[in-house]
Amino acid sequence: MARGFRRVFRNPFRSAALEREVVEEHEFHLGEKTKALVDQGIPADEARRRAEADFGPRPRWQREALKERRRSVLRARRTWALLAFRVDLALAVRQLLRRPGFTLGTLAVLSVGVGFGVAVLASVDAVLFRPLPFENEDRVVRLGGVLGPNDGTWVSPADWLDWKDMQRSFSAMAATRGASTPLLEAGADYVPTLRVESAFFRVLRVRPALGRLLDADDDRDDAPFVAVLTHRIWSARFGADPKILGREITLGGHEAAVVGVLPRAFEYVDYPTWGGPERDVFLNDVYRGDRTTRGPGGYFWALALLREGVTIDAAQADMDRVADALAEAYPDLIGEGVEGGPLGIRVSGLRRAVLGDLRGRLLLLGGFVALLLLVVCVNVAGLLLARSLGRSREYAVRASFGASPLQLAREALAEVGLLAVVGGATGIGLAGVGLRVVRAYAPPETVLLDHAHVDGRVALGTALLTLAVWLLAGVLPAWRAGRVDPEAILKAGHRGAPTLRSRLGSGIVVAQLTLVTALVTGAVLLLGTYAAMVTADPGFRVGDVRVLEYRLPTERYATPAGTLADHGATFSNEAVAEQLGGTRVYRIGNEAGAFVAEVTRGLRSVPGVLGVAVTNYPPFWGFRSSYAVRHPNPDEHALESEFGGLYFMKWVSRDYFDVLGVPLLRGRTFSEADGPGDPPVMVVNAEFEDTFLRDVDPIGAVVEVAEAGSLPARTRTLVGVVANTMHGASLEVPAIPIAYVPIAQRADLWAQIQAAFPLTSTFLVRVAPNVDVPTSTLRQVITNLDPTLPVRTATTLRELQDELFGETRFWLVLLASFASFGLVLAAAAMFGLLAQNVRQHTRDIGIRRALGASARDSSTRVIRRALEMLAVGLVLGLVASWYLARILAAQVAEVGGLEVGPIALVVGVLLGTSVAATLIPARWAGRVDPMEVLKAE
Amino acid sequence: MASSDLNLVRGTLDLLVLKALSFGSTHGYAVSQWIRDVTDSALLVEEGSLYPALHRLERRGWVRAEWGVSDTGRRARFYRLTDDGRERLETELDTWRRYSAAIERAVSATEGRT
Repeated sequence: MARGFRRVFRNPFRSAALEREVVEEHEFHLGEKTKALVDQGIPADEARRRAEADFGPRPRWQREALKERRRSVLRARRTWALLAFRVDLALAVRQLLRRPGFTLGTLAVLSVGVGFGVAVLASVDAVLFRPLPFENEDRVVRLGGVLGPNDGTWVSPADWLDWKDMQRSFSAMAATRGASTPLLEAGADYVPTLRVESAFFRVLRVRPALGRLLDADDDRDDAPFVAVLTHRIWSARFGADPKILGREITLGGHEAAVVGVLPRAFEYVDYPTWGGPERDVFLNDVYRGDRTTRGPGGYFWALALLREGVTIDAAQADMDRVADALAEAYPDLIGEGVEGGPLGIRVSGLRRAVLGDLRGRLLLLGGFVALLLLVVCVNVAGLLLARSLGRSREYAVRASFGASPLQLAREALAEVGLLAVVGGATGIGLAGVGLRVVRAYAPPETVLLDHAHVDGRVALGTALLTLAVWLLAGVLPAWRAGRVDPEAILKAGHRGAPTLRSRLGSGIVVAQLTLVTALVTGAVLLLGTYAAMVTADPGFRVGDVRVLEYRLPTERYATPAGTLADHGATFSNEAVAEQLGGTRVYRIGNEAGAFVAEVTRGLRSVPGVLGVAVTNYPPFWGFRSSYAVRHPNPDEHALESEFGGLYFMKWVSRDYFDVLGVPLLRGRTFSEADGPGDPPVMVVNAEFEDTFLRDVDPIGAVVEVAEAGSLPARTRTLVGVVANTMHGASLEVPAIPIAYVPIAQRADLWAQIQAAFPLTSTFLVRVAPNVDVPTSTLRQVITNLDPTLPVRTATTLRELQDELFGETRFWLVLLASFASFGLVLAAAAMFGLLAQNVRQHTRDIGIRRALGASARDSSTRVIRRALEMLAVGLVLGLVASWYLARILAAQVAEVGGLEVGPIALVVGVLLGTSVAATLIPARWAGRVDPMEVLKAE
Repeated sequence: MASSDLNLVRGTLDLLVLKALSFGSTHGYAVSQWIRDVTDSALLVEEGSLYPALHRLERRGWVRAEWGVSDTGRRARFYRLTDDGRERLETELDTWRRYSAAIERAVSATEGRT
């Protein structure tokens, strides 16, 4: 090859040679002239001098002549290269057209591979690299609290004000506080809103598209309530009304005047809430009159703009200092005294904060695609190689007629190049489809994926991808084409057409089997997880239970009722009392309870409804209480109450356990007798008992539980223990302790410290399985009572549960499609190799048969060869899978390790595929007729 | 030599070279001697300038060159007109004739116009 390389690139017009030619030509001129003059009788010396004088300055003319000659050479070389390129291309086109089957097959493989690649590339680009729609994105950070194992907890207003005073790293800081608020306008629905300090828009450097954004006056407690709309909601809900400014919109129980509209490009993503993660309305009044509450359990997230030149690390160090100082100043609130304390501060880059660990998952995605593309490359390389070997006679003939090895190699490269380019182009087309699939199955928090589309950047990426495919798939066949040994091939005649040497051919198949094993393992692991999720018994009825949810506007159903101090709350010491005493308290009016009762009655009266239960959150979710359980008399019962021993608090109506079919294990559930005026009771699940009430007879135990914001904390008598239910997407069913409190005994006083949405109600309606009860009929019951109240519905609890499995399903769909595509490729490659082998060894097989081998022997040889390749591929692939499984487990929840079950399934799938690929070649081998072979000899 | 003269000379030189080669394939020296002979050395002051001109014509594709042996038995580079070159010669001649006629008319005019 090296020799051939030199031969082709030997420069016939090398500079030195050119110069020699120019000098020689000029020398000839002078020589002839001198001779002519001498012939005229002039003495030689004189003649030479005259000749040189007539010629003019030799160095100059040599220089100029050389310049012209060089230009010609460059031009010639360009023309030559262009010509060679055209010839190669034309040849490649002809070769490809001559075998449309091969060409279409290869193109299909390439297109699908590139299509997947581009779709993922676009996704990764959108999420990781495309700038967020804010100026100074890299200087915007998010601030949150750190409490024990919880990173990024919410912050209380008094702490936040201290952070602002004490920090030295930020030029602007803004607290935010999210909610999903019913927007009581035409087509009422829950709109994700964000209360913000006016600095919010300075941090993000946005300018209004219409009107104004917030200013410092809006931050005052007595400022009127104002709203800034995103372009999106302004267009969708208000018809892009240019006269929107000054209009009052009703949000919850507030009237807010619209003061501005944000530019179209602006969007802000926060944790997902009802209505999605993108915030649509920005409101002032983030403090809501409370600037004094301190300690864990606040409501604030914060954004800040780093000062010019300050790094995130430096800011983190600065905020660590602030956290230490505060922990010292308020030891009982946020210092060592608090379980899990002291409260730390976390500074994180905005993208990281928005994306969370999505980055890792997307890189994982990239890894899978790389695996798939490798399979594609190896497969295409194998196809081309097999074909170039089929053409080795042609190559040999051409080589013996003087085609240089490099020329043959170049032709092979041109063929792959052409395939790669066309495959890449169709791949981009397919990527549109792929992207739609990715988006359809992507978990909801991947909002940035909505921006994923094929554009210039992605196209450039595709071009690079195509180039990589070209090189990966083309180099090997090109190298082989260049290495053809004409003598051996021509001598061998028709019999000895070279086969893909077993080692190289097997290597290619083994490589694909290895890569595919890894992909299949990933898919199998995820399939196992998903199947376990879907089939796991959640511990309650999920079918035939309709879900209706609403949030009563706090402002309409609750009234401010002074402060904690007013209600005689007791605190551990004076300092805490001073800090917390001012916390606002709301009284939930009877109207809320009456409304719930009326809705319940209405739903019960719908034909086909078997039972109605009310709770605050659907069974999969709950509000996590950050207070531990306390026994009123610790000496009497030693209760476990370490930090992290958290539990979920649920208010449920009497029928809750019946409607959901949650079995009662001991004691009783709630009854008519557990009314508002009756002794407070509670029911817990088995996990709660195991966690907090070990070695105690739970029934009759008296326990003090903080009811998420209720006031004061109450002691309750435990009357029953129910079975565990699945919580979240967790498969570890019994993992979460839950305390159930009768909704009738819900406290009517709520401190703002804890309860986010005390007025959220979820109705679980059990319908008879064979009666069609439309969800809309049920919704009608609520909207008849309050037409302005938006209601969210789900057909079944199963539907809500499915949302939780969304992410796992996404990975499963993706990996399964990669794996099956890869499997097809690997099987095809194996089939191709074996079939070619049988065809080329027909003579050997025939002779062996003539010497007494049975048809069965011949088939067995083929199958054995396949199994050998499979064995090597499987072993290598499973080693790779072991790493893959670990990465997968780290990124996708609940993925189990690489155990016997999954491994057996992987081996089974690959074995099945391989056997399928082997059947036909094995039969061919068995059918070889020895007589025919011998006759042909 | 002022540059306008040079341009004139260069254009003219190309024409003369093409003309010289129109009689048949020959080497640079012979071309230079033919030009000298027919123009009384008026145009080709420095013979060395012929070679860049030849190579330029070669690059344009009007002239082909190859190494051969001269009648004196030495290795020489022979130039011959290509078909394109022959066509070019016709155009150049045509241009030249109209050009020189125009100049001729101008310089022999007896009366100026205002």
